[in-house]
Amino acid sequence: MRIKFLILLAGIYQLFAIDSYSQSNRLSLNLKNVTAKTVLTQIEDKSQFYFIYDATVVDVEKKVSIESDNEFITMVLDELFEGTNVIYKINDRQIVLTPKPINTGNGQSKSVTGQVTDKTGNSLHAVSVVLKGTTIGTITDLTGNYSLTNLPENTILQFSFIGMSTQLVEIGNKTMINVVLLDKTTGIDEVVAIGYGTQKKKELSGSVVSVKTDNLKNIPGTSIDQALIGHAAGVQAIQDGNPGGMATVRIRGVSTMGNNDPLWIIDGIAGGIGYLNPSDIESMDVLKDASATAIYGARAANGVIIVTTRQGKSGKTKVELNIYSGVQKIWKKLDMANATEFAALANQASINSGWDPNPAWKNPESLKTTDWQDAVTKIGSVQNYNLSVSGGNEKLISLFSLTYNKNVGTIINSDYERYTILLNNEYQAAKSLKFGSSVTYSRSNSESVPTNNGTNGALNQAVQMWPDEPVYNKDGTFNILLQTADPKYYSRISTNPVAQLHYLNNGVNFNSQFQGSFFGQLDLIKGLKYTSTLGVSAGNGGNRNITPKYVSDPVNWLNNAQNSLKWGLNEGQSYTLINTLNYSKTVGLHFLSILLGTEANKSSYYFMNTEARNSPSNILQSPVSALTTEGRGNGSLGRSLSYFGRLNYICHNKYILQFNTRADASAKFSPHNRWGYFPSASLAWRISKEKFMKSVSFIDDLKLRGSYGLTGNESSIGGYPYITTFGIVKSSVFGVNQQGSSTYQVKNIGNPEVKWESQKMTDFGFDATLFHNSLNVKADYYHKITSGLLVQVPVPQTMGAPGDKITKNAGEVLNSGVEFSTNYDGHFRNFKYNVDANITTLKNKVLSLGGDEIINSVTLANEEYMDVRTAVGRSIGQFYGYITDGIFQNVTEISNSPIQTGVQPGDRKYKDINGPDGKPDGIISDYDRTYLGSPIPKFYYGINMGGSFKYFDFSMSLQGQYGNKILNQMRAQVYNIHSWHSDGLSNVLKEVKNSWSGEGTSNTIPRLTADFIGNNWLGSDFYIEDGSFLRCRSLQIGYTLPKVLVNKAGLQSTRFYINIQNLFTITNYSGYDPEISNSNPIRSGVDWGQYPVSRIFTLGVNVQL
Amino acid sequence: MIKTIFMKRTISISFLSLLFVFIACKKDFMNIVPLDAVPENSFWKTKEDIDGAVNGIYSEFLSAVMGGTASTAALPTNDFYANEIQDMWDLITLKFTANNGQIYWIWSTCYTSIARTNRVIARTPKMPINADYKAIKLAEAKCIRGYFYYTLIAAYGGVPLILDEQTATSDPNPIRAPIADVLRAMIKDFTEAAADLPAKWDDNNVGRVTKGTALTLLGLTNLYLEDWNASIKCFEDLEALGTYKLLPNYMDQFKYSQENTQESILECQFSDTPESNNYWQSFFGPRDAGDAGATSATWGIFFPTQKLLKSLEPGDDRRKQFLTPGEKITLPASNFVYTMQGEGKSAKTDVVLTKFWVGHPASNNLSGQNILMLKYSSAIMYYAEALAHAGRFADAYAQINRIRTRAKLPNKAVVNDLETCITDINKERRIENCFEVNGFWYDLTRTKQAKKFLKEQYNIEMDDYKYLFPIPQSQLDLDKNLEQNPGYN
Repeated sequence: MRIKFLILLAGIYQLFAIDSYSQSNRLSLNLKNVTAKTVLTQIEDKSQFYFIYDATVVDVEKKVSIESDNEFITMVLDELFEGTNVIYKINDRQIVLTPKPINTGNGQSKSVTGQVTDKTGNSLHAVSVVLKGTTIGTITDLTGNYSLTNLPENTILQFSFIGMSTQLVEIGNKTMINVVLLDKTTGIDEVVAIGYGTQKKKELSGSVVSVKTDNLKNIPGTSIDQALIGHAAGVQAIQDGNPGGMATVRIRGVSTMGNNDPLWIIDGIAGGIGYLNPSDIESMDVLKDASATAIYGARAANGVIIVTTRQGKSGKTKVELNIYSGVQKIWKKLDMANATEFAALANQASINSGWDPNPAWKNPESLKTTDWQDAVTKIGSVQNYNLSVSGGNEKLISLFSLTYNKNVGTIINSDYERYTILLNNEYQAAKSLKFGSSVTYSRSNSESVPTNNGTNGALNQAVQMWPDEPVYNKDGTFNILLQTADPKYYSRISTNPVAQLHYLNNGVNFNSQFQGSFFGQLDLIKGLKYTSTLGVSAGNGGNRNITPKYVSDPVNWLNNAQNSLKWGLNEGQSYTLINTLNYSKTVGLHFLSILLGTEANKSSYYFMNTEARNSPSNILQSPVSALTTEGRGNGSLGRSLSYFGRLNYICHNKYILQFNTRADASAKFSPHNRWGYFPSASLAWRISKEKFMKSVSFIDDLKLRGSYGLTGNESSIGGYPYITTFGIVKSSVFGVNQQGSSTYQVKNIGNPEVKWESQKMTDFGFDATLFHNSLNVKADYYHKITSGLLVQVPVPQTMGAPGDKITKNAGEVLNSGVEFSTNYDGHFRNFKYNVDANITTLKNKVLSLGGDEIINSVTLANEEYMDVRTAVGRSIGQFYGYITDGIFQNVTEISNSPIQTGVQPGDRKYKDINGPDGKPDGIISDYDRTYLGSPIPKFYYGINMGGSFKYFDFSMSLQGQYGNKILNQMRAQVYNIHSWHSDGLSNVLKEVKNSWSGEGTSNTIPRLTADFIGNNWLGSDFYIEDGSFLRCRSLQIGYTLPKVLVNKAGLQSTRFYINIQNLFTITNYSGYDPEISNSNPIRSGVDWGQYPVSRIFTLGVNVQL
Repeated sequence: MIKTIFMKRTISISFLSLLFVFIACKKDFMNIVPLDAVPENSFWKTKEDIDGAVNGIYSEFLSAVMGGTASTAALPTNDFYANEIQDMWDLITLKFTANNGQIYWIWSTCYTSIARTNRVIARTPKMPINADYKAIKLAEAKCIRGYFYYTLIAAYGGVPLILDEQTATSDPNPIRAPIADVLRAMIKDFTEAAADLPAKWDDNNVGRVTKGTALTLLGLTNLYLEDWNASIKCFEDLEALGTYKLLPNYMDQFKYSQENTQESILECQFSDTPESNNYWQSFFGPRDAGDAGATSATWGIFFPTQKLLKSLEPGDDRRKQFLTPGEKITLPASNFVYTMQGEGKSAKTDVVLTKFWVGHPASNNLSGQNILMLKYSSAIMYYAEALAHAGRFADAYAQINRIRTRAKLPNKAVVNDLETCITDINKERRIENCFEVNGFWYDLTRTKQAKKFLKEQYNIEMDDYKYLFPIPQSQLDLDKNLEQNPGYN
């Protein structure tokens, strides 16, 4: 894309050229017995000329000798191509080489004319048009037109252009052939972004994957990480169902207990992506191995994703309008018992527990059902409007984009909206001086609801509710069950979730973000470029939360006898200054490029919250000073300083060597541990360039790669863990007047030894392009060991550390696996199609936890029944509990089984697997708990296909993962009629009617009881489910109106499409959704009624004016 | 041409120099400090620093009192019923598990506080401030360190003896010191503290530990050491201070309008600000109070048993701390008049302990009422205990009768028998220290009367090992050198 763009730019630039470069510059060359190509390269080095040619029709491998002394270019070229069929055309600095059109002169000749354009209708200049199998042909002119005369009949024309797929067209009896060339996006000539620069894909020695972003503008979604889902090997992205929710992105596994999020670089500057609009993205390149990432040093251990926003293109003003709109709903509901079924089950449970059945449920048949899942959910909607205007000339290119995006969630009272303005400019101030800017402003407003939360999660509450109770009372007020229901049966913790969502979520969160990247680039001497980039990020946000005075449920502390008015504001700033010097030089067959740079960052974040309670008015919105207000604030500062360098050496176009290194300092660490050094090296061999591979005709390009390097991570920890600090707390009271006195308490016990987490990564891989660029294959083996994990190690309380934790570097984690991806472009007559697929395997293992410190047990909050443990020799965050062994069917079975105190037939049986002496001891005890599975998949994959036929196009994306486990905490509620959180009863699945009710009735669901039988609900494999799934993430069918038609309407192109997101999901998981987005690696895969991913139907249109 | 080249060079040079600009300012650039805390190298300089650090020690009293030090001292006696909270029930049923949150709380708050005192004790001597002032502040820290060690040994027996400032490089696996070592360290702390602490603080500093606090605790420590004469000496010194006296009425100690009275030796200072509230009023207030119109809802967690009520001698003025069906109470903070209902409607036991229930209408049912941690009446009974052990029964009974007289009860005749005398002392404590911090259970365990008491009063068999609580499991997991108390494995 970039190259094509440069050519376009050059083409237009030439129109305005005042003086002719070729007539004012002279060249001296003295080369003997070298290829013509070498000569061309030499000319490019010694002058500002550059050549455009198609190596398949222009013979540049021919050996030549040339001697010129201060001659004009025309004289040099005449000498060079003397006696060949090559002709040249000089357009200022650009020189196009083509074969001579020949005159066959045999009378059967015919002429063909036509125009070549790209898919957006822009004419393409300098496309080579030749007779297939010959060197006869021409190139297109500035308007994309060509004409060929004296052609033989029944031949085939070959249209080729750098960066685009070559097309063959049979002449037949046609006299006019218009051709649309498509981007060869997977081509090896494509340029990808690497740290602080770009590189040709074919010359890459590291592991970098470019993610297709073409479709981003058409797929409903608010964040750009959506593009990663299923589209890149080595990258796992898990959707978050919340409106405006961001996916959890993991590159090559989970390597720390802390922050595993990749480093995002947006237009050269590191930062968050929440403010970015998906359709404003031009490209995303994922840097995966240490060779690619080490240039980002201490921030690179989790991988780096380089995002480039869209730039304008020189030429005619282009106006684009993208609109989509649609509906969304949850794709699955749990099959809960209706009122009749529930009442019958509740009565039975009461009888079993020796309770009197609730008189209100005497006649189950007469009860009316409320579907509480329906009550808390609704059909949501999505909308997106994007207008962009772009264009430019040789001096200035510019793009302006305006977007409004709205997502009304599927759970009531949740929504998200965002406005985004993007303005990108590039200004060529002088021949050697360029300035550019990329500026975004966005504003989002959202309302969120509690989910994935055992005590007040919306769905969680909904499934527990008694189905015979209405949402509203007859008078329209909320039905507060506690006020009406008999407390013996009623679960004191559950509350009407609709009322709860209504009362507790009257707040809005808002966020404004300005993000700017400004650069100046100066060509100092030939080959030496100086670039200075300033990144500015300024954001402010906050929330307003007005909770009215109400009484919903006084016992549950959900009552609010006083209203509260909370306002919070926050402000963040970050400045990054990057200076780089880039030098590249070609000497003969040796190419050398050196990058040196420095980067400094300064950031700050401040927030302030204020709250007033007990306003006499429920309408008043602000915590005015007349009310008793409380305010507080805090903030944090950050500083970092870095030096980095890269050396890239390419020899004979075959051997590629690259060294990267970076020194990083962070103010987080003590001065003697402040600097970290992160070197890497890689080597690649383009084996296909070797002579012995020439005969293998189906291989276009084959490259073997290997790399090793060191990267770091500091983001797992906040603050300044190396210093002991004292914080002020106002909590001691003295004196007859009981005055509060400020107190100092240790806030952190500093550990001066704390330093970066460090990661060593090895990578081997190959890239292959086969069958005339139609098939690409890429494979990698990776092996990375992250050590010195930054963790807050629990210490004995005798240490008196705040929170009983001290920050340390402890532990070591291994991630290894294989990535494989392939794509194929093909066509069958008019039907063009492409398929790409990728798969990544993951092996995650904790090698050490840093000596004797115990950091291997994390008990779920509010939950003493199930552990998630991180232990040596196992993957991070495994589930830990008992193994069930069916249900005790009779007394004999109990007496013949390992001892479980107090059980009776119908109770759950557990396996005796261990005891204090390391062998089964006939007693079910804590020793019998074991590892029950990992939330990390064995592999994940994506399959994407697309095709077009005449005016129709379609695309489909499948994503999936295999072998991970989910801890489905909701099973504790939906299988247990005893309320999970309190006494009383709560609703259950229909399936619970198959509970054990006598010998042989059930071996999975224990007997129904109104009492809580702890034994039956111990943390066990009962809660662990297979989380594998295959999901059709997106299906899209588009129709492009015929050009003739839209042109008449004054439009360039118009395309309508329908898109279905999450159309189907194949999974055995019984909860709402198998995609469990949780950024905390030691709590991942825990589903406690998370916000489910919805199914979205949208209708959209893309219009180009 | 030359000009262009020259200009180019100028631009280049200026750009290049920009490149290295921030290298020059590197030193300052990286020096940043947290906004919300004072780094250690800027701390321990001024009087305000030491004041703040010492005040910070006191704040842990609030957690200790609200957490385990009262509940563990009351519930194992079985004199109380606890609603719905499992950890509380386990204390009543003597199911002392290593995972019990209340038992853990003692360990947690004590060591948190001890670490704070250790810092003050380590850093204060080197501070460039007035030596007399430093001595007082050091004495406060030592007295409080001793107090928390007392709480630890009363609950667990011998514990790790940490007397140094702890840093990231300190031994993370300390061993349990023999109880005698801990007691000796306490004696040293209290002796030094008693020497430097004032007998009385000025009006702005009331609530801090005093000479009397240190002497009382020193006397108590000597009881654990069974050094009866040393203990007697402490209480004689306490009497000699002349600072303390018994208030005319038992209930005066808990008056909402009156705090830090002459009977108060150590008192946890709560106030009406949200950070220093106490929530006991809602733990002891009956559940139906809110429905009856009290402005603050109450949770009704703890109720005295009928047995406790029946143990009162007729005419005991301390009966006023209990409310039974039909009786009325005017809540002092809100003037709300509440009439208790019978048949378990207000309280499962039909008895309510009223001394902590003030009816303060603050949000979340909190109040600013102080809670007594050590009171003169307790000191009198410790004194009596020491005298009894020393064989001075007449003197012991004289002390017991001071308490009885205040309770408007007739004097007890002197019995020259240690067992009887201790039983008589404990009988007063049962009522006098009803649900108080470091209260009756610890008196029963120290005097080895717990087993007998539970058998006689509630017909409960208690295993001997339960005289000590188990070491919290989380700490055993973290500190590999820590050993569990016998009987709990």
